[in-house]
Amino acid sequence: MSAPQETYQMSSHRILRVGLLVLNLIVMLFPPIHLTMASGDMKNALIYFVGSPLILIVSLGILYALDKNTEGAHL
Amino acid sequence: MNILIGYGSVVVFFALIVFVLERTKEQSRSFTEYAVAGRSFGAWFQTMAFLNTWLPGTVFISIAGFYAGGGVIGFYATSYSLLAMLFMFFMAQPVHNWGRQFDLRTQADFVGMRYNSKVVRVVAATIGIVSLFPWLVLGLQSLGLVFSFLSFGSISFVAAVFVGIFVLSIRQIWTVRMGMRGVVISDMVQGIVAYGVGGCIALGFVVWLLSNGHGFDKLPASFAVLPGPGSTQGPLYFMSIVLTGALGAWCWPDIFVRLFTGKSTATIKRSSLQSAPLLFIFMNLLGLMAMLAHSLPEVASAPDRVWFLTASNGGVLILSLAGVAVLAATMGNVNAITSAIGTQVAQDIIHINKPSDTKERDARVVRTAKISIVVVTILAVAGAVATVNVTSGLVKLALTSYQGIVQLAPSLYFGLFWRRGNALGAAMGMIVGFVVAAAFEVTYPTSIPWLGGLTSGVAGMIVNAVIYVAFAYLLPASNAERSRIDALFDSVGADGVPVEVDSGSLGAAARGA
Repeated sequence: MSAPQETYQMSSHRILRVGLLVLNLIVMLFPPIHLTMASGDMKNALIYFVGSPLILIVSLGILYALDKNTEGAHL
Repeated sequence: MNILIGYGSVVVFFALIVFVLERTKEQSRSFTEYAVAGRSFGAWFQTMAFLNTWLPGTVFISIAGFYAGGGVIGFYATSYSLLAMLFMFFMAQPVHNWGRQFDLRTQADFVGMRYNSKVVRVVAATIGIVSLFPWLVLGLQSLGLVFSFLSFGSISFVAAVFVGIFVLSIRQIWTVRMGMRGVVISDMVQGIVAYGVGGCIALGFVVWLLSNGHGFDKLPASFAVLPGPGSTQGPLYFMSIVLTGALGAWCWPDIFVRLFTGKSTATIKRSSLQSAPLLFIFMNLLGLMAMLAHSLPEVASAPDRVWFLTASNGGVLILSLAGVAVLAATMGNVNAITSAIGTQVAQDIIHINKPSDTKERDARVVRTAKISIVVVTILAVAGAVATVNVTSGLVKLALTSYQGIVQLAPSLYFGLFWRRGNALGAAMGMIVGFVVAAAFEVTYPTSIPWLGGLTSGVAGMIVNAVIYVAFAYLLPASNAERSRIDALFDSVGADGVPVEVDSGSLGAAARGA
C-alpha cells in the first residue's frame, strides 16, 4: 500500500472510531431517546435496554477488528 | 441440618480459593510485582479481574433491589458499565503504554506523571482513598444478609454480620501476602462462581417466574417509565446517573489499576471485548429475574432481599449457591479495594518523596503497602462493627462517594487525550468540583430540580471541567513542559502508528515524584 493510501486508511479508521464512540454516547445518554423508549410500554423499554447494549457490543467488535488492522490505535 | 449445608458451602468455596492461591506460590519481590502483578496477565484473567472488581456483592442486593423496586430504571447499571468498557478500549493504549514506560503502579501515580505534579498526585490519591473507604465497610457488612439467610434463622442478623466480617478478614491474609497477583488469580475463580453460577441461578428463576404466572403483565405500569419532564427527579436524571457511573468507572483506583495488570494494550482491549457480552448477559438475567420477582408479595415488601427471597423457592441447595455467589462477588471487590488503598497509601502518600527504583527502597514500599492493607482492614472492620445497625445510611454514603470520585474525571480524561491541560487546572478543578458536588449533595441529595435533574456529581464535574479548560488557556505551559507533553503523546502513536521513544528522553521528572 502506498503512503497516501495508508494515510487515507488511517484517517478514515480514526473517523470511524470517533464516530462509533459518539454514536454510543448518543444512544446511551441522549434523553429524548431513552425517555421516548421508556415512557410506559414495557416492550419498547426492553427493546431499548437490550438493543442499546447490543449496539455497543457490536461497536466494540468493529473497533477491535479495526485495531488489529492498524496494529494499535489511539483516539 | 440446613445451616450445615449453608455454611458448609461457604467453607468448601473458601477452601477452593485458598487451594488455588496456595498452588501459585509466587511471592511478590518488587513493588511493581506486588502492586500490578508485574503487568503479566492475559485477556481472560483481565476480563475476570475487571468483572470481579466492577460487580461487587451488592449488585445482588442494592442493584437487584433497584430493579425489583423501580423497574427498568435499574438497567442504568448495565448502560454505564458497558459505556465504561467502551472507554476502556480507548484508554488502554495511552494508559498501559505510559504505565509500562514510567513503571506506574496506581491511578494517582498516573495523573502525577501526566501533570508532573506531586500536588495532583496527592489530591487524586486522597480523593480515591476517601471515596473507596465507605465501599470497603459496606462490603464487609453486605455479607450479613448472606450469612443470615444461610443460617436459615439459626442466628440473628447482627451475629451474621460479624460472621461475614470474620470470614472476609481471614481472606485478607492472602491479599496482604500475595498482593495483586493473588487478587487477580482468585478473581478468576470468584468471577466464575459469582457471575457464572449466579447467572445460571438467575436464568433458572426467570424461567420459573415466567412459567408460574409472574410475567411482565403482572408488573405495575410505572416499571416501564423513566423519570421525565414533570417528574420529581427531572428529565436529565437518568442521563446523569449513567454518565456519572460511566465516567466515574475509571476514577476508582481499584478499577483503574486493571489497565496496568494486563501484559499488553491488545490484552486490555481484548478483555473489554470479552467483558462486555459477559456483563450484558449476567446483568440482564439478574435484572429480569428481579423485575419479574416483584410480583412475589415477599419481594414487593423487601425489594433489597429479592435475590435471597427468590432463591429460597429453589430449596436449601440453591439458596446456598446463591449465597456463595454473593460471597464470591464481595470477596473480589473487597480484595481489590484494600489492595488499591494499600498501594496508594504506601506509594503516593507515605513514600511520595522516595521513588522506589532501588531494591532496598522497593522492599520498604512493599512492606508499607502490606502494613497499610492490614491497617485499612482493621479500620474497616471497626467501621463495620460500629455501624452494624445503620447499613442504610452507609449505602447512601457509598453511593454519595460516586459524586466525589467522579471529580477526578476531567483531569483524567482530558489528560489522556488533550495536550493543553496543566497541573494547577487539574488540582483546582478537582478540589472545587469536589466542594461543589458536596454542597449540592447536601442541598439536593437526589437531583437538582432547577438544573433539569442533573445530579450533584455532574454539576460539580461541569464546574471542574470549566476550571480545567480555563486554566489550560489562561496559564500556557512552559516550553520545557510543552516539549515533555509532546514527547509523551507522540510516544503513544497519535493515529495508530506505534512510536518507539526512549523513556529517558521524556525526562526523569516525568513521574511527578
